[in-house]
Amino acid sequence: MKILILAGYWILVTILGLLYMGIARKVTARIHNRYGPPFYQAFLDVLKLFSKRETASHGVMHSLGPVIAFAGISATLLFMPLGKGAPVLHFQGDLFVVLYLLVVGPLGMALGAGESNNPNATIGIARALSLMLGYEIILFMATLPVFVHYGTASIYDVIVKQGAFPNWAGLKYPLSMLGGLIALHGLLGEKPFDQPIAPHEIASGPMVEYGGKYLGLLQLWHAIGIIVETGLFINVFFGPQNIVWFFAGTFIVFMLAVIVNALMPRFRIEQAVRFYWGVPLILVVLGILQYYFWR
Amino acid sequence: MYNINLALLAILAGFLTFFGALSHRVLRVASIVIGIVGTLVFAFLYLKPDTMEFIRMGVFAMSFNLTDISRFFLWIIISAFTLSLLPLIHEERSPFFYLYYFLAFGFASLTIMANDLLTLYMNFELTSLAIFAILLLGVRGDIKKTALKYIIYSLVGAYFYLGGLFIKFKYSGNIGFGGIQNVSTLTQIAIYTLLALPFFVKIATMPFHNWAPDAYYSASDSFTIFFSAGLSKVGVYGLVILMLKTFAELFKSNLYLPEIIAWVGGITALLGGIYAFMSDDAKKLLAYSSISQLGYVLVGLGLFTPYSFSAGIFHSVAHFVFEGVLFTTVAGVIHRLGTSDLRRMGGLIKKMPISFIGLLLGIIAASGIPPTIGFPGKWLLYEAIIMKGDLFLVSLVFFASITAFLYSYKLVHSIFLGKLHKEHRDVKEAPAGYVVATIIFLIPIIVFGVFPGVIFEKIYGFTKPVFNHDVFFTFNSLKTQIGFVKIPVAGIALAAMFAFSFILYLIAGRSYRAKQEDNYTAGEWVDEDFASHYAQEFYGFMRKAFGKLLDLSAEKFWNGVLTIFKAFSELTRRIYTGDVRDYALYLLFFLIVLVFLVGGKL
Repeated sequence: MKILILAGYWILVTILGLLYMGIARKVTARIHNRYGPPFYQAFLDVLKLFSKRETASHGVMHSLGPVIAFAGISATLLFMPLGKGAPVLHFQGDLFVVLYLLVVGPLGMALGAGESNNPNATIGIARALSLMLGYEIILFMATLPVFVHYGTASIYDVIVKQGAFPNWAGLKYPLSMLGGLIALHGLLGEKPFDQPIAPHEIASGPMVEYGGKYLGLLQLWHAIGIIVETGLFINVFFGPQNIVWFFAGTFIVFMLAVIVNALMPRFRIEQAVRFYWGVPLILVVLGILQYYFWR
Repeated sequence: MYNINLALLAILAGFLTFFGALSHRVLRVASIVIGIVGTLVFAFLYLKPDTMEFIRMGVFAMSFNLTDISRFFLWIIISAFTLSLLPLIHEERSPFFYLYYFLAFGFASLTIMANDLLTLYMNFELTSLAIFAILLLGVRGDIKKTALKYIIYSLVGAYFYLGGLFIKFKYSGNIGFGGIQNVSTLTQIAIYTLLALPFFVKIATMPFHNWAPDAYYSASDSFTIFFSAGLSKVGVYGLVILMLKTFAELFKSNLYLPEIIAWVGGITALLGGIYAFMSDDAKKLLAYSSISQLGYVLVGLGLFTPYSFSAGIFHSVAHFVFEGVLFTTVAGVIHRLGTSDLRRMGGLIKKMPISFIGLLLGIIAASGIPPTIGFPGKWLLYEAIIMKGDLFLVSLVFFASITAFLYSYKLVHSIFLGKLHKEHRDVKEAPAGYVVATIIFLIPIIVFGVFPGVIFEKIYGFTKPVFNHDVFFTFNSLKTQIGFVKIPVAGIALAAMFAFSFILYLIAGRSYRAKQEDNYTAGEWVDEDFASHYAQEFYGFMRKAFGKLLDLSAEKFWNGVLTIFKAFSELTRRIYTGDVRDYALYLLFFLIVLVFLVGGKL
């Protein structure tokens, strides 16, 4: 029974993720004063990609890459609570399990893209990994005071313990929340932090040699990834008390990122990493100091 | 049966291999195999808890004791040694090389069985000497300079240790592992620092690390397996035994010492990781990764809470496993290609699939992804630091752990992915010894990753008397006050999702194999000679991001120390000129001063 419910949630998240992607394209288009594709475009794309008759592959690892990526993010989703009360494998919605499982997907894709012998792909991966040195530590340091405040390392316990609106951890630790929001932007890979993809420079980077069902799997990976990544932020800082609030929160945060994305140019990679070691680092350090001195 | 016969057996096997290597190739291989079998048979049948003592002179005696801790670390060294001998079968070196190899193992095992600080010192130094001799028989780079660097670091560490030993003897009246009573905290810290220094050197803690990358680079490739996976554990063992037996009270009561050591470990982990992903040589990259991973071990040991201490020891086991497999596969690749330069490799995945799988699982474990052996130690370490409340330290350690992804990917991509060069078209899978060692290393990576309790139970046996803490593990789960993880669930979730996603992949249309050059290049013509392997300056842009940070180097620091030292010696030389007339003058001055001071009373 639990497995069925889990599967249901998993399908729901996939559908909503694709919907978010479609809406994002529409929103971006409206900001650019274009008409834009319909909001269900992402579904059509995935359907089209999966119904291609034949796809080029560069070898076993190249084929397995997207498979591992999709499997990794789906497994992470199982450990990510969708707000309070949603029966995920949450008894171990442990921060470190989630953070490390979150890497399995990108690692799989990196290995797959690497086998393609296209330098654009590898440059994209090298950039993505380097960017992690920027945002990942900020995200971690931002969430740290919240977890310590509630004396747990479990994401689910943090949601339960912080409670509804006026008690949100994001309001208790506003500086950490702000730092976390900036880090989330890099995690989502939206401009000005889209160096790994950088369509005009390195031809969409890791994805350059992927088409057909491989790209389809990567699209699904991206769709679930959006919800898991924004969900981590929402769960920690805004403790969604039910699943509706969870999705509303992730949608708002994602749209915020999309709007910034539509307005921004792109950093050079070292500028992006440097940026994270500047103001965001100060914000999250202040957040930790706030935990020590002004709880 | 005495346990120390293990060392005698190793020395005997060393001489056997020496003569074998002198006479014929087949005899050399046969004697190495005899060495492996003999060591394992002895270890399985005759290692028993047992004390022995000989050559007693007053309070000094050479004594050996196989305690739980010794047995734990001895098994790591025995496994690393026997596994590294498998690739050694394929390496042709001077006969002396094999002799020193076995000697290094013999003395290392005696170091671990030693029951007092002096015996430990003696065997520790003999191990260093054997390693020095092996480094002198290195294969690439500036061999003599490297070996000298190693032995100088080791000797300086040893002299400090000896000094510490004398001071300890003065205060406690014995040279055993027992603690020191009625001594001020500051003196205890001083003694601890002196005694622990050679072990810090051995695990290449910054700033005592810069012998390591050169030594790993120039040493024979099979030996580096044993060097990193096995011999570095002698250093870990030294630190563990000093902390648990001699200075437990100091570490429990003092607030600053644990923090300082943990921070040194954290900085080592971070800088080691950064240097690792900036190096362009496979062996140097692995050397820095080894330094970095031992940094986590030091964080865990230094912090000295029951959880962190267990995590540190667990991670040192993990270090043995994944550094072992990484060095083995890389040694195999170097054996086939004849170079360790990452920029000259690439695309070997189809040629050396087993090595690829070995290296892949090795880097996954090194990055700490569940359900491999790298995960439980890191997980417990994070939770331990958070429980201790040092949020900046846990951030530092987390930052260091991100660098692992960077150097891991650089390693696997530069060797196995990307473009297969024309001259490597006929490369074959690594020889049997390498492959067998790789496969054996892969078993513990998964087994102890899913069931870490097996190892934690052993660790609990010797941390319990010191910390008196509760059991925090079952065979497949870990539980602290703030978190809980059941590792098989993560593994099953991953496996199930992989199965599902694989089915999706299978039912959605077929795929055809594209040629290597069949790529999207925006219209540019690509043929075999097109340089499309991205390996040069892999993370070159990070040079700009790090800026001055990369200029930091221990070499410069020690050169600065040397300059001060030289200036001081120069000053001393002005006084001690070696000229008798000067000394006569000093004597005259002294007499005059004496007359003035004492005056008429003379």
